[in-house]
Amino acid sequence: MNTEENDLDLYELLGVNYNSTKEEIDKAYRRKAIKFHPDKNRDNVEAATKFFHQISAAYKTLTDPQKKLEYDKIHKAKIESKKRFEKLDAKRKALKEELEER
Amino acid sequence: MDIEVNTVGIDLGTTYSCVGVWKNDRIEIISNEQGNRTTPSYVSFTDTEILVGEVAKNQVATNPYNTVFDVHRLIGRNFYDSDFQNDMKYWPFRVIENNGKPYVRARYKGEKKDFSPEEITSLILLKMKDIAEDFLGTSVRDVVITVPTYFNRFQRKAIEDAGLIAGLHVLQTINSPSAAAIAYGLDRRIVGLRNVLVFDLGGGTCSVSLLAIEEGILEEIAVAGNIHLGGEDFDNRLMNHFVQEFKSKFNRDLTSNIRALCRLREQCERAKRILSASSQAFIEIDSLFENIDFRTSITRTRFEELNQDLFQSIIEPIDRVLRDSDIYKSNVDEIVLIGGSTRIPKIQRMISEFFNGKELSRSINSDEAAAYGAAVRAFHLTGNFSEKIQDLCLIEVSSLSLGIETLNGDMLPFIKRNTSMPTKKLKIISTDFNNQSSISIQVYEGNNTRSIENNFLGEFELTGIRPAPKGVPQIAVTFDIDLNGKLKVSAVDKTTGRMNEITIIGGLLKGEIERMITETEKYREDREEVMQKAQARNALESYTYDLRNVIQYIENLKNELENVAQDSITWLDENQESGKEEYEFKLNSLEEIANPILKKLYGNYSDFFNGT
Repeated sequence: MNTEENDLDLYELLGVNYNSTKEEIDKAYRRKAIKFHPDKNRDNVEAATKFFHQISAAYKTLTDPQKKLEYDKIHKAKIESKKRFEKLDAKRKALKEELEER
Repeated sequence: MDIEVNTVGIDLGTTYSCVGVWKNDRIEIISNEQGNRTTPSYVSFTDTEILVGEVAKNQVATNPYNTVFDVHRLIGRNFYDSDFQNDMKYWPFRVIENNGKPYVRARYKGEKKDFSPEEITSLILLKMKDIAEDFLGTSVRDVVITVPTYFNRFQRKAIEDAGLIAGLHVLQTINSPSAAAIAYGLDRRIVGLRNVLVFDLGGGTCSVSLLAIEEGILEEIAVAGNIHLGGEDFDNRLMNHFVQEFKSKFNRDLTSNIRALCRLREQCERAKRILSASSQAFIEIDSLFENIDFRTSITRTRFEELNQDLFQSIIEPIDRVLRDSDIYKSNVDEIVLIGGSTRIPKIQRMISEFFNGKELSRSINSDEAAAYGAAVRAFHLTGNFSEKIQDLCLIEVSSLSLGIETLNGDMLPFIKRNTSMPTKKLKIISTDFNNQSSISIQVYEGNNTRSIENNFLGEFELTGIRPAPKGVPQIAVTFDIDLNGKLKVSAVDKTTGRMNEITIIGGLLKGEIERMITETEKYREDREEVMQKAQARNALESYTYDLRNVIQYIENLKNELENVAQDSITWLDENQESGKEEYEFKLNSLEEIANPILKKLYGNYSDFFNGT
């Protein structure tokens, strides 16, 4: 997987979450696959192909228990760091506002 | 609205082909010149011309060495393949090797000539094109052609090349069961998500697709097949049976006489068809061999027994699609049968039993469904609009695994069979030896674990790898199949950034295709010449016979006149002394009879020469 794909949130991509069942992931994938399959988007095959690759890869990862476990680790870490950033951001904002109020 | 229709769908079969077109917001399956909606995939070479279709099939017994059929079993094949060598035993026509590929050697216009399977196929496609053009009154260019699911890339490419040779632009080759599924889905306006299994058993191949169908969207979940199982094999079993019977009855070996075998084959095919409806079929062939008349019969039970192992093998691909797709038998909503051989009651029974007695869908025309679906697809792909196919979308899978060969000859799969296309897969590989400076990537296609048993697609080399212990260099190999099924394999050395890649094309070289196009045009001219000659001869012949008819007509009129004149002379002889009134009356009556005849005699005879 290249870096670009590493940055993608596979759950967000398919519109599912940690607790989604295999059936729910199947269904969500199908819905996306149908909508974005290049055969359905013949006027924009290149972009559709790229997106289709992404959702196919996401589906494969999330429906393979071993791969899902590995991905979840990375994903959780990413979410955590994101949250930290947000918190930091919020603090900074508050600080900034405080400063401006003065 | 009047649209110029020039896209058709062709179901190209081992034994029969069928063509359909979208016209007036519906599909028309087009009849050939004999009025039949399917046309035999037969090509016959004669001293004057090339015959295709019904006329060619009729030549089998009289011109056995130059009448070619089963070309689906030649196209894209390796001559030295053991299966192929076995097939060859059943063909009366001669097959030779040319660069490892099988070619047909036939006598055409008094000369020996070698034809590639692509050329023979192109002649069949041309015939189907002619049938469509005769019906439409316009020229046909774009086409979707069906193929068996287990055709490999080279076989599919060979079909495309055959299309090119025939002057057609092949928009897509699609799996025949999936084409039938398009027809099935369109006809029924399926509500909700349905798992549909389409089983296609034709003259030479068996194809199975499991599709998820929802509204107009068809997603292949898994496909499987056997490119060597069909009606022809059942015919062969029957033939062997009767050859044995002939041997024990008359102590003679038929197999030495190709013509006798061809006549027997015809009757076997007929008997097989009869046995789908009756429990017994009779065979009667006058002076089959050394003036011996062969009269015999066969029961359905015996036929089933002769083919038991072949019939049994139809379950394997069905079982495989279910296993590959993780779908239980009970979750298959519909089972659709297409292809002529699915008329065999035993096969229907076996499939139904496999699905625990589930009823099979019979509402679809098993001979025409694939051509119907291909025509819909062709219409759709050329950007035409109809409300009925607005939502049509076909998601296909790659039917065979794709991978590279490892050091010990195993196949390392990159893209597993039944992966939705387009797809892209990357794997990191490394060197097998210390300080290895280059690595050879050999690309294979097939479901066997040993690469040698699979289809070799091509190879390339990645050089300039920096010296390192084995297993250390990181080479990123990517397999990429685009929407149209085109495969690109690339390798990148992560250390140096050096890369190399190959696009798998296969098929005939451009020059070869051009040569074949020229030759096909020549055959057309030959055919045209023969037809014009026949037409000219017919014109002369019919004028001559018309002339004869006119002479006869004149002759008849003259005779009539002769008779009335003779009558009048006789009367004059007998009535020497009659009155004036009597003579005048006689003259009047004579004129009344003779004048119309005379008028006819000196009239014009254009009515006789109708059409010339």
